[in-house]
Amino acid sequence: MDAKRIIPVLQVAGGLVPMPGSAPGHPADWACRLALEGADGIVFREVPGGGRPGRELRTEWLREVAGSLFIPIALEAPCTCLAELEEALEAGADKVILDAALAATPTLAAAVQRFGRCHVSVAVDAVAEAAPDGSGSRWAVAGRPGAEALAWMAELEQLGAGEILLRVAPEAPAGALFQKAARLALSVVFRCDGDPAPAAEALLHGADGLAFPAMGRTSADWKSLLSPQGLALRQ
Amino acid sequence: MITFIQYGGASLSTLEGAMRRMGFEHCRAGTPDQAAPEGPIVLVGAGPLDPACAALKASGWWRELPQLAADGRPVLGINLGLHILAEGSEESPRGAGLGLIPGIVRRLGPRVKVPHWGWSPVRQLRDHPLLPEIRGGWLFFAHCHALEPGSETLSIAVHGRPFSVMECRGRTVGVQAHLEKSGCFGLALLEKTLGVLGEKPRSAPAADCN
Repeated sequence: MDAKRIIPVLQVAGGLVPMPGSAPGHPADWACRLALEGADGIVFREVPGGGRPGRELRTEWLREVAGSLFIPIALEAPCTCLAELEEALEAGADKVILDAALAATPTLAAAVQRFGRCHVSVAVDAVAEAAPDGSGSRWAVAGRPGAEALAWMAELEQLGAGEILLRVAPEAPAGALFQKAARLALSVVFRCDGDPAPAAEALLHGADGLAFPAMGRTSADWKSLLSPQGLALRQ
Repeated sequence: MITFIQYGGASLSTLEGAMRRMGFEHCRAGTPDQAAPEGPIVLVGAGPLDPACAALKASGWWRELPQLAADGRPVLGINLGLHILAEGSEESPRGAGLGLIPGIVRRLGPRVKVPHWGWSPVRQLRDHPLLPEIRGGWLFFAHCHALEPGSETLSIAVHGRPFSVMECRGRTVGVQAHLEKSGCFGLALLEKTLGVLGEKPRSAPAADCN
C-alpha cells in the first residue's frame, strides 16, 4: 500500500523564505530541515514580495534546493508559459502545480504532452455554495464561475493532470467530497490550513496526501497525530 | 568516474547533488565521445518515452550504449532509463527498446491511480551478493508505466499489481524508483548499486542526510 504523503508547503518570496519577525531564510536550508523532520515531499509556493523577482532567480534557488534535498520537490508558481515550466523542471522540480486559470487554457494539455502527466499537477479551491436548482449546497470551484468541483476535477483528469492539490473551504465537511474524489484515477492531495480535524477526515475518506503550512506543525507532528487513525504513513 | 548521459530527458540536479554528498566523481556527456573513459554510464529519464528515445538517437547514445554494455561497461538506468533499457514499452508500441534488460514495460492499472506518484514499500524477490537487504524499505516512485517482474528482477513493489523495482543482468542495472529522491534509504541503495557497478567514492561522504 502506498503511504499517505505528508507534505509541508513552504512559501518563497523573492528567492527567500519569509520569516515573521526575523531575517528571511534560504529555501535550501529550510528544505533540508523539513526533510529531516520527516516530510515525504515539499511544495515550494512562490508568493509575491521579496527583493529579486523573476525566472532566473527561481531556477537559481530551485537548483540549489534540488542539489541538496533527497525527497521530491513540487513548485507552485505563477508560471505563464511552457518555457517557464521547463526551466523549473530542468532546475530540479519534480512537478509543477498549475493554478485553475492556467489549467483552463491549452497550457495544461500542452504541458502534459511535453513533460508527461507525472510532472504536472493542478491546484483546485473548492467552496460550498447553494445548488442552482435549490436542492441544497454543492461544491463549486473558486475562480471558475458555474463549475462544479467534482466535474471540474474529472475534466482535469481527462486533460491529463497527474494530480490535484485540493483546498476545501472550511464551512462544510470535506469527507464526502474526498470520498467521491477518491474514485478519480489520479491522486488528490488535501491542502489544509493546519487544522488537524479536516485533515484526518480528508485522509480517512481517500485523500492521498496532506499539504500543510510549513511554519506550523512539523511532518513528524502530523505523522504522530495521524498514525493512530490507522493510516499508512512512511516513518 | 560516473558518466551521466545528458540528453534533456531529466534534470540531473539531484543526482549530481547525491554524487557530491556521497563522494563520487561524475561528469555529464551529451555524446558518447564525451563520456569518461571508464566507470558506470547512468541513463536517467523522466517524461514521455518517444522524445527521450529520439534525443538519444540524435546524440549517438542509442547506437553506442549497447556496444559499450557488450564490451563490459556498467550501465545504470533509472525510471524512464530502465524503460529504455528494456525490450519494449506499451508507451511506444511501434518502437523497440535497447534490449539490455529483458521484458516489456506495461501501463499501470487498471483500477489504480495513474501516475503512481508516492512512496511504496519494496519487497525483495532474490538476493544479490553485493546489494543490501531492502525488505521493508520505502522508495519514491513517479511513473505511469513499469516493467513486469521477470527472471532478472531483484525486487518488486505493488501498485495494483506487482512491478519490477530493480533489475540486474550482468553489469547492467535498472531501477524504477527514484533512489536519489528516496531519502537516506534511497541514497544508501544508490551507493551500493554504484558499488556493484564497480564505482567507489573518492572522498568521504557527508555525515548528514535528509
